[in-house]
Amino acid sequence: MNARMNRRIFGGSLLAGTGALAVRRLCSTGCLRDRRKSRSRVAILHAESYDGTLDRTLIEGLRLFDLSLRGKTVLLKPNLVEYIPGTEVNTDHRLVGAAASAFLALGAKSILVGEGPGHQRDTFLVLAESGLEKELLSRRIRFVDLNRDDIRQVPLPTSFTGLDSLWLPRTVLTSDVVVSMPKVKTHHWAGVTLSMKNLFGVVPGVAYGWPKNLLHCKGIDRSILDINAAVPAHFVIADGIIGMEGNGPLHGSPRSLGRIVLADDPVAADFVCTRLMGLNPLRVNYLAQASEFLGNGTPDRIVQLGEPLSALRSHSRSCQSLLTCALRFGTGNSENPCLTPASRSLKFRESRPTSPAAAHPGPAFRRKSHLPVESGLRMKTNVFPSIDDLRQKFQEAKYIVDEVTLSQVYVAGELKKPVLIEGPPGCGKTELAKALAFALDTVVERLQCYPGINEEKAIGKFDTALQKLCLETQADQLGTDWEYIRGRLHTMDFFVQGPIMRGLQHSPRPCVLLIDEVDKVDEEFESMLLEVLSEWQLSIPRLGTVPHKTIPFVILTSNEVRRIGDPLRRRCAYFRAEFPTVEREAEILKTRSRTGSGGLQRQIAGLWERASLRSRCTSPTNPARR
Amino acid sequence: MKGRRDGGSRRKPRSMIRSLAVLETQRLARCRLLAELRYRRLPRPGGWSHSGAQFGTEPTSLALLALHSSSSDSTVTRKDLEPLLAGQRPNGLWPAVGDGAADVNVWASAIAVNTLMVLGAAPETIIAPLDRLIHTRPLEASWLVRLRFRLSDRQVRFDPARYGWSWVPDTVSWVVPTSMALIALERAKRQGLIRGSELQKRLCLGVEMLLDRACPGGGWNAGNAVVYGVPLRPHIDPTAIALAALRFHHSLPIVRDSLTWILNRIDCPSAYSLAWVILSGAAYKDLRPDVSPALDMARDRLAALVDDPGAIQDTSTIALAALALEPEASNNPLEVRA
Repeated sequence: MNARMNRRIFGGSLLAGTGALAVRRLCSTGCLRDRRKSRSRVAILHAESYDGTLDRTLIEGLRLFDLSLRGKTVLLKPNLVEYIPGTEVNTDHRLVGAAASAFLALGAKSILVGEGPGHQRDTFLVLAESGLEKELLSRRIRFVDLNRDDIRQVPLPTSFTGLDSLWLPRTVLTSDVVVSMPKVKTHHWAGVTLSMKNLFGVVPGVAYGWPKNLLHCKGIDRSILDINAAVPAHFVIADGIIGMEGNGPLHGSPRSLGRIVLADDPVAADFVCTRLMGLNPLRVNYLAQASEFLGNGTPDRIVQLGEPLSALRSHSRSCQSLLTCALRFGTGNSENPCLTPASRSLKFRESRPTSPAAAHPGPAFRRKSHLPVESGLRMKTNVFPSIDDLRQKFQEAKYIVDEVTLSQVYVAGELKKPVLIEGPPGCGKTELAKALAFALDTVVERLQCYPGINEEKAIGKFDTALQKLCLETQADQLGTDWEYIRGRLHTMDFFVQGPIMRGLQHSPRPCVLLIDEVDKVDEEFESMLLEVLSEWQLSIPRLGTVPHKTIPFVILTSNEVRRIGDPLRRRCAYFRAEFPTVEREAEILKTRSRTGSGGLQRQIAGLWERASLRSRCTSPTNPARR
Repeated sequence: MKGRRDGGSRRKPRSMIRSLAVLETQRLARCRLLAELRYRRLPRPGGWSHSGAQFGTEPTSLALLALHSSSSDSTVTRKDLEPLLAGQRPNGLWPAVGDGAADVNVWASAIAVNTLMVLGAAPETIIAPLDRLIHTRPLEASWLVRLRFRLSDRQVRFDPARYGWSWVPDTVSWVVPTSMALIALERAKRQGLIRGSELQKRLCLGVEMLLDRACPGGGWNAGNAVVYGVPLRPHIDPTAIALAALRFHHSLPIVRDSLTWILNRIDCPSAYSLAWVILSGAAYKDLRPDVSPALDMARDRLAALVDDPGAIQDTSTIALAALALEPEASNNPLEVRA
């Protein structure tokens, strides 16, 4: 009897427990009020740089939405995390300034900019270092530190975290329009950090600490959902002009996307931005869940303004096929050198939907797709917008390029691989680097190799004269602590940078690093190049390891005087350059000469062909081709 | 020779005049900061807010220290401490902001009890919060959580067995609250207010935790030194506060490196961070010869940064700057005398 009673009690308790869990689950997700609009609007604007035209671009973009701003207080919430020179961590100050001016121009009563960084307690230090302080002062816009604002307790409409309420800043709660202004970035824990994740910054540090650890303990995805349900952003302006890929949100690599995304729905904005990054939004947990009740993720409920997303998607597909082509050249592993071994092993494997059904899978599929959110994400975006664009740029640079070279350069750009070009002198190897710099709108850093070249010439060296001068003139400030003096004198301030160092430190845009006639260097120098070309960093005695600011597009040329070692060859996308055919030579002459006579150009090309053929016949056998 | 001596004697008064001018600039800046503090005091029962109208424990503590740091206001009565004591919860700790419902906060509690000790409050008002502070534990104190960190949650490199204090209950320990709790408990120990093995254990664990969370090249950030194998950068104010907490461990290489790192950051453009650097550095001025000249330069810079106190949003920054601009500050909250 007793045993039966115990079993009944146990069974009853189990049932009650399961029921309670089910009710709790239902309360947190099942009974959610559907907040989705019937239609969300998203606009993708072209913006190649943060130059003076941003104000106009944003005003025109905002006009597409027909917003009612008259007499309203607008709070702009940029993403300020920490200032790390050479990285694209924060929403660019020029975009924030331009947004403030655009909202004022469209009738807003007042503009506030507010942020509460999660790790850095000194908000005004980030503000000053990021350049936003000056920007806001020049535009007379007030900044509010949301970490230290007055706070109020707000009941949560959802309960993903299990919390009943959140403390939120008064400024956020009293603003008429909240605009989330994220940086388009990958995030090692959340997958991507866009307009929804950006709202972590409205949670006050004064109540939750630095970092906002309670929310991390409750789960980042769940916290994002609860925060966005409590503080819905009314509008989104996402900074995708230069985004970040890799080990975000702090240590990824800058990636030029050339886009600003505007939206009146944060979920729709984040779906579009994630696709723009070449990732599947349904693989990001909080986005998949948010699209069920908070905002729209399905294309049929997103009205696309500005540039259509379909164009970008078809372009991404062409990248995929090119990545597959790259396998043939032994460069198929799209390894990101800026990632650590641990995060590299957790590479995001994208499954791009091919049909509407696949794009919006049912619950069974979605359960499978709820993988742990990986770090080491790579945006499948491009150095060049498209291969056609690259062809066009080469034409503008008056560089006649064949299809093989074109696709090799394009693929190398996608994979961030150096290009090794071997061929006889005068066949256009160096010119390719110059044309590429033109195409990328950047500069060429040239390292001219010669027998006996050493690391000092290539990387740089400490300026001993400057160090001595500093010791003589700054003795009072340096004090007597030898360790301190030694540390002070061995900084980049006293380092004269060589071409390789300049190439790695070039910012904000990467440069083209031309390592010319690499066949003339010895094997030791070649080994030194391996570290640069695989890790994109330099180890310098007394200075330590210097990481890259941007990864340059590296072109190595060889005249085949000596065979380049296999380790270096294997790290590069390789191709041979030959003298152009008579037809190609005539085409080059046509683009470069002023005369319109095709016959004359062909005759000169033929003459040149014969002359160069004769010189090649008389030259000794090429050792590199033995 | 005579001419050279004359030249030397001419230079000396010039440098003295300059020093006096600098000191006068700093004194004036400090006066303006104190005036601003008095202006920002909240109506009854008093206290200060960070930037609005809501009582904040940190700004109130720092403002009380700043206002009672000058010789004229050195006598502190219970009435003076009333704003701070009014914010105290029945369990002895303080919330970060006073609104009745906010959770208690270790950082706020540590800074409040530290303030009460510096200002010489009656021991009966101090013992309960100190005792509560000793017995407040972060999540890692549970073996289950430690096991989780050892087995699965391993992206951040740290030893969960070495724990300190969290910001709020039900979270893990972080550098800033741990440092301030260590400073408060160390001061209490040296004033003979508390003793016992539990205190000693928490002090040792707290120091070990700080050493474990230090960034590889020196300095501290919130508490994540290496994430996914990538070393993160130190931040100025956590480094300053952690250094103050490790004052009695100054011979350790990581402490020396961190001090060197922070003394190289006196060109930072923020008054908040710079003030913490000065207050922390003051605790080391007798230990290293390069500290005092660096702090003089830092004060000079700070005086320029706080030229217009009305434009400074956070009251804590004003109070910190006022404390930092007094060269012989008696109420330095970060300095625990041996």
